[in-house]
Amino acid sequence: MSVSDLVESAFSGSSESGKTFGIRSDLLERFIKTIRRDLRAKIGFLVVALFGLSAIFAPMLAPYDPMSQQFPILMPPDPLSANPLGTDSFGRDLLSRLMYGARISLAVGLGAVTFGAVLGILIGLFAGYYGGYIDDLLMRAVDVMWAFPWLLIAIMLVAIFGQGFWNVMVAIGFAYIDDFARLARGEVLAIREEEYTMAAKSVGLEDYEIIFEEVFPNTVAPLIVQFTIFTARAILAESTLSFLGLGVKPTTPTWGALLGQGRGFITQAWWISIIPGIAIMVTVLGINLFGDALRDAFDVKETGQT
Amino acid sequence: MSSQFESSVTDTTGGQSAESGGEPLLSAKGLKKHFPVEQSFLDRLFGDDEWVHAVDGVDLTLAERETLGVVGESGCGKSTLGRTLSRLYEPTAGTIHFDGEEISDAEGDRLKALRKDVQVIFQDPLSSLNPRKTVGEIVGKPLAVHDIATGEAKDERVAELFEEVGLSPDLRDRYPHEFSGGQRQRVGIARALAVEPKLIIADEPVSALDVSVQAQIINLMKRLQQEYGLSYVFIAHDLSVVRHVSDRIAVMYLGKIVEEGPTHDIFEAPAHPYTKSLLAAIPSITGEMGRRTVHLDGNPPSPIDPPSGCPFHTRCPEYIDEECEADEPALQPVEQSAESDPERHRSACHWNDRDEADRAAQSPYGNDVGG
Repeated sequence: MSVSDLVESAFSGSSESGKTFGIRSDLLERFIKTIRRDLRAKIGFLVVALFGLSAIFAPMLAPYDPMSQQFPILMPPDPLSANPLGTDSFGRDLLSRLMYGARISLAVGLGAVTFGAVLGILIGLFAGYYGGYIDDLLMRAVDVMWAFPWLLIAIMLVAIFGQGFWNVMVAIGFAYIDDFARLARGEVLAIREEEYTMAAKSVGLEDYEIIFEEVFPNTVAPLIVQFTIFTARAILAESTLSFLGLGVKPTTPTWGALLGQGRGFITQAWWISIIPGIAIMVTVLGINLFGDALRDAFDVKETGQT
Repeated sequence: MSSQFESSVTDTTGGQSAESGGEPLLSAKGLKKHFPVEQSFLDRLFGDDEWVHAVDGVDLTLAERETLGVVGESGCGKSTLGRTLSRLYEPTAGTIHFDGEEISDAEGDRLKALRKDVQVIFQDPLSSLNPRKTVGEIVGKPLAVHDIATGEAKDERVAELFEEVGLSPDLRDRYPHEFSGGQRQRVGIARALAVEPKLIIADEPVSALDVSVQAQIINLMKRLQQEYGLSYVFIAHDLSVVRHVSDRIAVMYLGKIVEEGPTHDIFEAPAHPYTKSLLAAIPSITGEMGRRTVHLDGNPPSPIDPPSGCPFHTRCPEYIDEECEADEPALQPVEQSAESDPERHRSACHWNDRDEADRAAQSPYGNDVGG
């Protein structure tokens, strides 16, 4: 039983031929191929799958209720005991809290980047494709966003709209709009010079069809890398906001909140902060490796052996 | 199949051909395309505009089933002319008539209908094919866009088109990077052919290819012209390439046509000093005795700030006097030799109004260029 078998069985039976936004369906095959031949891609996929699944199935998998204060406080990690990762200052099981925390942290992380990516990429595509005044208008607006420190914007947005899952997600994602816009625009500027956009026009495609069918699929590779890097960053950002007490909700277990709660006990009970810290680090690394594999899968010129 | 297209094309125009002298398929009058020079935000705000005069007043006509070769140095505006004629660029000024209709301001449905009748073949066959689409998708796209065929009918038509341009239909699921340059250009031709256009604007279709492949592509284009009754505007920087395909040739310099005429006349009896220098630049294997080579110095002047008077006066080996700098010569009929047709051979040079003997005395080409 190897990793590649696992991956293949996970995806078996889903090779229909259809396309979304000009992105090919054989993407999946390429992706599996990449994971098969690349150790780093395997590691990335495993880490993302492990954390993702434990987040999704936390209510079934977690040994205890993350809020229940039923154990002795500040128990150190002991793999053989009832609390393999120890307990916190209220006697709550850290493993359960970590699994539930993954739900919020990963969801906010992915959601925030998706929000920033969708808006940013749209701005970048239109600014780059049309140029001129549209470009000036959109990109100057983006520059204004860029001029503010993200934390300040996030704190301001949370202060105005209040805490909560969606608000925190938007507050974090807002800061990524400009990066995605700038990257997408740069790609479009290069692709606009390629004759196939002219050819698409001469074939009779409308501007929006050219943007989404011809231009966008060719900007995807660097955007995917950006997406994964920023997902990692967004998880850290959520941790930062939770640490400052501006996160989802003070009592909700998220990785950042766990880390923050442990700081008062760092000398007596290091595990309360360190374990969520390690979880964040491993996830961030795993997502980056996963993103590299995804980017390779998007490269149609990648023929097999590397 | 091909004969069917042929007849349908001729039917719609009442069987006119290059020889009949009827209404041309394509004609442009005073066509201009100027581009704004890339400027900073502030310059644009204060309206300090500079313009590249890429195409600067071009008149031309093209008859049904005719091939017009457009030649000139890089940067003379020939590609821009092609893209403006096909309405890929908006003309800055002037009119374009296609098939009896004014198309320089066509929009929406009319523009889409035009896209079906006028197709473009591009210079760089790799750059003109989307690297993320299979060649089958690329060739099938125009069929879907113009509701010509869908589903199985589309697949069949794509296979036919592949065969028509000399590619195996089995290759249709491959990506452009898996093909050679010549094969890619065949894909580009198949895409242009898919909508059964009346006019194809070929923008240096062979200049990125090996010489041996150039001949194959040119022969393919000639065969397709016969079969489908196509008209071509064939853009190239190489006179020897256009010689084989063109019925007529237009020579461009700095956004203007400086000489035009039947291919034979242009080669055997060129009238404009610029055409002569282009012809002199064609390498010769035999090394004809007595042929004088004249090299043009430097680069063409900037199209941002074109010279006054005749655009060629700054480099002209047959420069006359101040008139060249003051007045722009108009294209006018010239009679170069007994067999040339003065109605069709025109040139824009002040020598046209002067004494031929004086010219022969001064010209570095002597009296018998090309003859």
